[in-house]
Amino acid sequence: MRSDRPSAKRKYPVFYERLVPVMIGVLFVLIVAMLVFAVAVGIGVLNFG
Amino acid sequence: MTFINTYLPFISSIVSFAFAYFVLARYFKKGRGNHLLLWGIGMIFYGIGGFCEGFYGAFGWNPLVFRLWYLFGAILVAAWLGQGTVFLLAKKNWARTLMILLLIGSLYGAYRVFTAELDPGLLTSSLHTGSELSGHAIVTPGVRGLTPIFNIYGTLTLVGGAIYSAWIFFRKRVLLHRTIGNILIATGALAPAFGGAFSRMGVPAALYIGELVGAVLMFIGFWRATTPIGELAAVAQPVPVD
Repeated sequence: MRSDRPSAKRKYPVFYERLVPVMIGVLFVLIVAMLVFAVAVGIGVLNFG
Repeated sequence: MTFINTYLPFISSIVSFAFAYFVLARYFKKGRGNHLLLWGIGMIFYGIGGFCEGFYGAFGWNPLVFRLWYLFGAILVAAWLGQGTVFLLAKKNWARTLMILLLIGSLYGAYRVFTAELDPGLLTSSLHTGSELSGHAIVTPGVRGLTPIFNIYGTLTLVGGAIYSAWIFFRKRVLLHRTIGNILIATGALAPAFGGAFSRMGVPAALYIGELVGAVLMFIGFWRATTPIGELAAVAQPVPVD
């Protein structure tokens, strides 16, 4: 059954609607990069003396 | 003695202790919240690490200060902060089990650090410049190998937990202040990790700068996450259903 009543869809202010997913994506990439780096140093693939 | 290797870590230390006071005051006021207690303890460790770095910059080598720095600043801090997030997000049984493992691991780490043989001359014989504290001074094998284990656990739980929380709040479009706060906490928690990575690659001062940026961002993030403000609250926009 379809309703003609408007439903409330919550949204953040436009600035945050754009910024938040980008920041979450960037942080996700950074944490993966950091973990890869840590494992590479740990197993000796990267050696900085 | 330079601004970078002395005043910078002292400033990090002051920010960390202030943050710890802020978090622990909240814990004692509420009378509950293991995550607050662990974050408070973690920030005290962060502050001890910064103080030891500043001490080394100002007064030079001291084996006790080095051991305290390595134990609290290099091994334990991230893991204890991350354990706070585990108490916040994971089931109680999991959190308690991991807490017991962390306690045992921390005691073992303390034993290894305080019985390790040290050679301060090694601070300057590697890529490292010697102007900052570094684990290179530890001669005994196996001690430095503990650091990535604790730090990977800490980074995964602290940063991963903050990113996960931010995503959940964003997906539901609720509590914008917590979304922003968690993003700042995740960014701040990554800063010392990247500082440490660049320091390993021989970039001077990277670790100390990363630590200060991390302490400040996490402090602001925690304050933001726990302080709702009206003008940033999510707004409800009616969307007609066809």
